Parts: sequence; C-alpha cells; structure tokens
Amino acid sequence: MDEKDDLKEILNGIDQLHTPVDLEGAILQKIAEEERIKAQIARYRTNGLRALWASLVLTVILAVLFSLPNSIQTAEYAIMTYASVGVTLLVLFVQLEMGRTNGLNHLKTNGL
Amino acid sequence: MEAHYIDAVLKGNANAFGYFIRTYQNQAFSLAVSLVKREADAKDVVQDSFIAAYSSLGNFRKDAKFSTWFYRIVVNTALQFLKRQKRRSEVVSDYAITDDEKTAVNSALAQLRQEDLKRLVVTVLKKIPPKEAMVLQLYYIDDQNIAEIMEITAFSNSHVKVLLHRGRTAFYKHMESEDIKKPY
Repeated sequence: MDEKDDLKEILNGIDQLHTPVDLEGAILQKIAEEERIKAQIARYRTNGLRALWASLVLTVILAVLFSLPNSIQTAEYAIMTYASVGVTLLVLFVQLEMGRTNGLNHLKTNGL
Repeated sequence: MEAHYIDAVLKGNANAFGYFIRTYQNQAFSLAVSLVKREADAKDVVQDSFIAAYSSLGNFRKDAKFSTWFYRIVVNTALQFLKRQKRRSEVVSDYAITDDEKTAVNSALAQLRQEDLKRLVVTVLKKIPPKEAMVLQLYYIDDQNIAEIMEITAFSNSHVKVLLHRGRTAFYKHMESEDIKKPY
C-alpha cells in the first residue's frame, strides 16, 4: 500500500480543488419557487375536492328532480325542466371554474 | 448544531437550509465535477442535489452523518445526469505502472507549488473515467476512508478498492504524459 500512502501524502495539502462556488442564493430561490408550486398544487387539490362535493350534491338534486312522477301539472313540469337545466349548467360551471380551465380563463379574458 | 438547523428547516424555515448550502456546496461541487467533468453541469447537479435533500430532509435519520447522506444524493444525482446524457463510463484500459515510474511521478509532484499541483490534479482527474475519478476525489482530496466511500456510493468494499486501484494507476499514467514541470 506504499503507492497509496505516497500519493496521499502529496495530495494531503489540497483541501479544495476548485474555485469556491456560491450557489446559496440560487438554490434558496429555487426552493422558494418549488414551495410556491407545491402550495399552488395543494390549493388546486382542495378546490378540486370542493368542486367534486358541490357537483355530487347538485347531481343528487338533479336525480331527485328527474325522478319526480311525470303525472304532475304542465306548469310544474316546466319549472322542473328549467330547474334541471339550470342545475346542470351550474354543475358544469363549478367544474370549469374550480378546475381553472384554460379555455374558460381565455374566454373570460378575451370575451366570447 | 446540524440537528438544530434540520429542525428549523422541518419547522418551515427554508432559510435555515442556507447553513447546509454554505457548509457543503464546495465539496459537493468538487465531487460532482469528478463525475460529470464540466463545471456548469456540476453546478446543476449540486443545485438539484440540494433541492432533493431539502425535499427529503424529513427522511434523514438524525443519528446519521449529514455529509455522508448528502454526498450520496450528489453521487446519485450525478450518475443519473450521466445516464441522461448517455455518457457511458468509459472502460479503463488495464494500465500497468512500475514502481520506478510511480516514484518518478511522486517526486516530480512533490516539487510542485500547491497551486500548480491543484491545477494539474484537476486536469488529470478530468481525463479519468467518472467513477474512478470520484473515488480518487473522495479518498485523496476529501479524506474519506473506504467505509465512508462505500456508504456514499453504495458500492461494495471490493468495488471501491478496484475503482481506487484503477483510478490510481490511471492517475499515474496520465501524470506521466503531462509535462509536470511546466507552470500550470
């Protein structure tokens, strides 16, 4: 093992081969950015869950409305139909809005 | 000391992680250079390694040595980088070197000024295949022993010894072809 010891002795005085680097600022900035993205994802997840629950409740309402007997009066039937269409649109809106759909945002920004 | 900063980071103080960056960035950088060779790539590897360490700090066992745990992340990140770059570890030719040749190189190196020696070692390490250069860097420059190198690299004892032997022989062979006396 003489060869190893000789080399070790020669290289012993070298503690740092390269010019010191300073990456602290860049790394901390990247970490902060990653944290922000993680928080954003968590927020989207919470919103998504809320949207899912809201959709579930509205879908149950729809199911109740559609399962009403069709022997009821014409005016009541019309109200029920419009209410159903309204709730369906609401479900769609909740899904699109809480999912922050790009298409919807684009329409909101640039108009129809 | 380190446990204090780890606790602070885990409690949400990301700036406390700056302590680890300041303490380990230079050694991590040298280790990364030994593997990926280009300094710009090594900086990326170090950056990615620190971010990976930050994300998985919760898994760090406090009874372990932070440096060993972190250098292992650096080695894995650098090896993944090489894999992505499809830069295969070159097969080292089985160099043979005589005792006289070694003695001649050793005495020439011993006469160099520290700065010249540093530059020469950097030049030669760049010519040595990644894994061999990494083991040389850890053993000779970072002063890690075989057991620590095994822990950092996850290589077996015999693999580390083989890499060290091949690296050392390649180091001497490349040193022989360098004009050691010229100022670096």
